[in-house]
Amino acid sequence: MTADATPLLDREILAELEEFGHEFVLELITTFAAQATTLVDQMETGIAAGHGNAIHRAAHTMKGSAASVGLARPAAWADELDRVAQVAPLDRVLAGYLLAGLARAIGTSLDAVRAEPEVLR
Amino acid sequence: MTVLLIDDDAVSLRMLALTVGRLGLTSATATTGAAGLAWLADHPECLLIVTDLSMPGMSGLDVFVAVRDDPRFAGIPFLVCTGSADAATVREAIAQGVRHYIVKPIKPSVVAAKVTELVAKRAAEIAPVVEAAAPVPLPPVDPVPDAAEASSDAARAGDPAEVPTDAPVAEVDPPQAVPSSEAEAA
Repeated sequence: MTADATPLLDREILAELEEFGHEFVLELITTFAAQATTLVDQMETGIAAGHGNAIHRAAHTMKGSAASVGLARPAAWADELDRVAQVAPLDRVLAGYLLAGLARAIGTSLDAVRAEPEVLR
Repeated sequence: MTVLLIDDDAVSLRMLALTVGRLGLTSATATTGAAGLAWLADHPECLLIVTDLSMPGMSGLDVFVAVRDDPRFAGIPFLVCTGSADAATVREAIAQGVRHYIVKPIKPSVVAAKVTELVAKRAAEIAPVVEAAAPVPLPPVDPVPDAAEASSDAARAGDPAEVPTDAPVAEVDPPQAVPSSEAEAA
């Protein structure tokens, strides 16, 4: 399955998180969104500089945090970027494409969660 | 006594802290292995260490080796959270002595079960030592406990309705940002 075909949200994860309370889920989503901005910046810088390891580190963190809060599609894009970042020499064009897909998936999944709070219930 | 949580991922760290809090335990959080070890040096009575494996600088495995090789921390259980799909990394961790790990994404129910198991074992190990070291006569018992004591007793009894859902968390990273007395308060 390609990253873009991955379901936007992992409802099983979200349902389990919801057991901790709706406010907690929203707090986690907010924490994720703030961290995601920083990580995307780091990946962008890494691609521009051709630093695969920097991209790998940021993508690895992104993959784990997105999956932990049930944002399945961003996690899948981050996983693909993580794999590409670990291959030398870095394919900057492919990495840039994957980063764009990741950024789009983050926006779409956060919009889905915020626009449809019932997905968390 | 406190559970030490180490992870460079803010989301995972928050999730771990809340899960530990729901169990009625306090936690100290660090975003680097070095900060976690600095906190541990002042808190060798730590109940459990939970750490991410893949972190910049000092990895979770580096933290494990440092703890394993320091007699001050003998007996503190260690739980590794890994999102790494690299089988070689996991094999290396096991070869170094890691015995307990969970695979990310973090599921609170999985973390809670593992933390409960390891903390119970640790508590059972240190309880006889505590009793032997403190043969102090008990003071007279007040027949009417105050509200704080009653609440504390209920928490110890494991009544979910009385256990705080978000117990205090001491952030210890960077270590100099939080005075040790503040961490003690947690």
